[in-house]
Amino acid sequence: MKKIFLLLFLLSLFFTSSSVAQSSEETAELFKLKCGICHTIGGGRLVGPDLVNIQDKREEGWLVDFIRSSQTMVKNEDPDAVAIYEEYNKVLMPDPMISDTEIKALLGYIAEESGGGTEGGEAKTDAAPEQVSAIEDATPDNLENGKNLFEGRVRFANGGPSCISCHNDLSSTFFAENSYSTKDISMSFANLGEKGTKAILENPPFPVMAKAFEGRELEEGEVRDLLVFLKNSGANDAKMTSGYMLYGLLGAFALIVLFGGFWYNRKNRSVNHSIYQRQIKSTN
Amino acid sequence: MDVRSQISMVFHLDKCIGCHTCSIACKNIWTDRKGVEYQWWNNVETKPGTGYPTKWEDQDIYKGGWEKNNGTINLKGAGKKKGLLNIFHNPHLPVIDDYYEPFTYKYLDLIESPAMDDQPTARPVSLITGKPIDIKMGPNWDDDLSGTPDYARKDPNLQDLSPAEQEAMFQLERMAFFYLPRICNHCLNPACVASCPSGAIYKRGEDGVVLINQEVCRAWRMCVTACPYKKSYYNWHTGKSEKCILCYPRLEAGHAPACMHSCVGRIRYLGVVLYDADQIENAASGENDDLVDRQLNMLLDPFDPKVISAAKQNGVPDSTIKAAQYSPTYKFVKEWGLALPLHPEFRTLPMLFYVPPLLPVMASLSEQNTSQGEKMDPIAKFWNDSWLYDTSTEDLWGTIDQARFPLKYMANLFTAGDEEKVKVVLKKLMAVRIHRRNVTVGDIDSAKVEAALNGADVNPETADEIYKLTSLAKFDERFVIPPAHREQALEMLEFTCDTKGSVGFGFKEKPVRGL
Repeated sequence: MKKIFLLLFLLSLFFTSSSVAQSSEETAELFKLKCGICHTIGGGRLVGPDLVNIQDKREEGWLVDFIRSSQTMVKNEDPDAVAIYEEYNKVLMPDPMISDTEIKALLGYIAEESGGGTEGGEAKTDAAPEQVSAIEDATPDNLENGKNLFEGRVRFANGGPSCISCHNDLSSTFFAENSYSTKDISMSFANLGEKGTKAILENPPFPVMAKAFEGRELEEGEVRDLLVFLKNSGANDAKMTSGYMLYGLLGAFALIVLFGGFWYNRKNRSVNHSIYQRQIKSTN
Repeated sequence: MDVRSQISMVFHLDKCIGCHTCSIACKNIWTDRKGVEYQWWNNVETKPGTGYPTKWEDQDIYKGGWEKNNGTINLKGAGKKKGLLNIFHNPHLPVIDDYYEPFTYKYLDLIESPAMDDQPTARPVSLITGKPIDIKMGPNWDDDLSGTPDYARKDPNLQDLSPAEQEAMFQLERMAFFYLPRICNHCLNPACVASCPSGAIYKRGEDGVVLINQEVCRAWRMCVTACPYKKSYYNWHTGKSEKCILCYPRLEAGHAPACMHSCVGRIRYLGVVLYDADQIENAASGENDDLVDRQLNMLLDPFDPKVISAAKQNGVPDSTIKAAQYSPTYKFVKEWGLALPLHPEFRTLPMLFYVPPLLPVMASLSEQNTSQGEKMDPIAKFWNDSWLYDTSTEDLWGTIDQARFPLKYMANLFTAGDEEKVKVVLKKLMAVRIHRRNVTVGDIDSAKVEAALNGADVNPETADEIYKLTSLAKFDERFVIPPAHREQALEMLEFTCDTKGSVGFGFKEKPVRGL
């Protein structure tokens, strides 16, 4: 944990020092870097919500607070923040570590982009479905390779750390039950969808992950294979979860009945029980 | 013929006065340590009664002993398959409440309590938790309590008796009871030995004493379940099971076991018997009505030259054979046929035999007593009421046939339900009494005495011998203890092949230092 805090601290230093003056180009660049991975402006939802006309929905002060540190707000149980957190599969938005000036510049940028009017938005939303799924024609080889990449049996071409060094995957037997990971991502594909997962893999928004893959980005083929694997494991998990509890309870009940029948004549109380029951007890 | 020697005991129940001196002697020597307070290697039970632990004779509850199965015998509650099924929890174990929670009193409070308006009291505290408790039960809680609904009427031996017979046993003014002292039977076919998964229990070759090796015991407690007499106990402090050791350190030094040495009524006899180990399985797997005969057939005549040579071949020392020839046990059990094993139907072939009590003397309320016309003595009570018991009977065997205890009860205890066998023994005891009455008082018709002796198949000489060993026997006649051949034990220590070629030198014993 200490290391993570230190890393965050260093990152924050880096970001604050780098963002002194803002031109609109720089802001666009900043949006792409900090927000664009999970959010679109009129492009539909990815990991997080579509930000088109966000200023119409929320007050600016609230927005600034939320962008600065949504996690703090969720922790402080701000009702709106919590609602968003719940709605978006409990994926915490990483604190972007940027100054209030930059936040305001970003909001300005969002307003500008949304201001392009409904037509621009619509145009962009129209464009969204055109994206073809990268994993539609996946083969078992892709799945196998994705699994190997995830578990670190095959190295990433650019030398990035394998996923399992931080994440576990319940459907896999490897380290399945005793993982040292920070987060179980077995359901991430189901929750985030292909687009969201792909965005995270291509350009990790989470500080630690970003740092880990800085200069060691995943290649396109690797992203595809990992997506195939994650989709598959998520599907398996979903299957396991449905009725899992029910089967467990039924099984337990069946065992209790079986054991009860098997050992029905076991001695379960003292032979003196009835005598003891009648005895007068002192009140201590 | 595989002749071996066994130290065997006879308890003469007619002589037991139920004083519990034996129990206390044993407790003081062996079981006054932590974890064994509840263990009574020797206990004295009132019969009819439920005994200790409560209802130990009911093997539907405790699953002890052997059961006959397709011509052979299996353990009722232990063994490989049953052990595996109950590997995490042995359900037939007695719990501490089946025994009792051992307790003491805070005696120091009586002395150290500050001055108050009231007398200080010594509160009972548990010897397990150390906290004050309500005493719920004790090891002889039903002492002398014949007729009680909780104890006497729940005696498992009453099972085969009709309700009317049971009722008759417990009528006011007709109620009777006797005492049954019990120690480990040091059986020939011990269920505890057979059940032990660790192989910690063994029967000593030289004298047949059954012992639990405390270094090998792994607290399975299968022996506690398997022993139908519930004479193997679990020490919750050391995590090992313990049982009566027949005071073998005393035996080896030529002393009688503590319980026998201290016996006030001198009811206990101890001696060597020679038996044929080849017959063990056959004897243990007989039919119920055949069990006693087969067991007694195993015991061999120590004067038979064939037996003696076979014994010598097996390494039984001459001194032990000689002790067997003088053994009081052999006389009571084989020569005179007076002693019977307790619950032979458990099929463990117990080597502790009981002379059944010639109890109770039949008595009837007489009519208005007219025999005593005047006071014999100025201070004597004048018997003019109708409450006098008449204990005499015209019929020779009346006291046996019309006993207040149905013979069935005795038979359930000693002969697996065969009333005839008990009757034979009781007749002999009765005949000896009648014969001795004739000798010492001479107020019995000699024809009647002869009829009694003939009826019981006892000649006057044998009757006198029985009388002598029963009533007059001195220490050395009651306890014929063979010398322990320590020179052989030493040779065993010098024999190095035990450890040669095997791993290590056995258990490492820590040196004992200081106190």
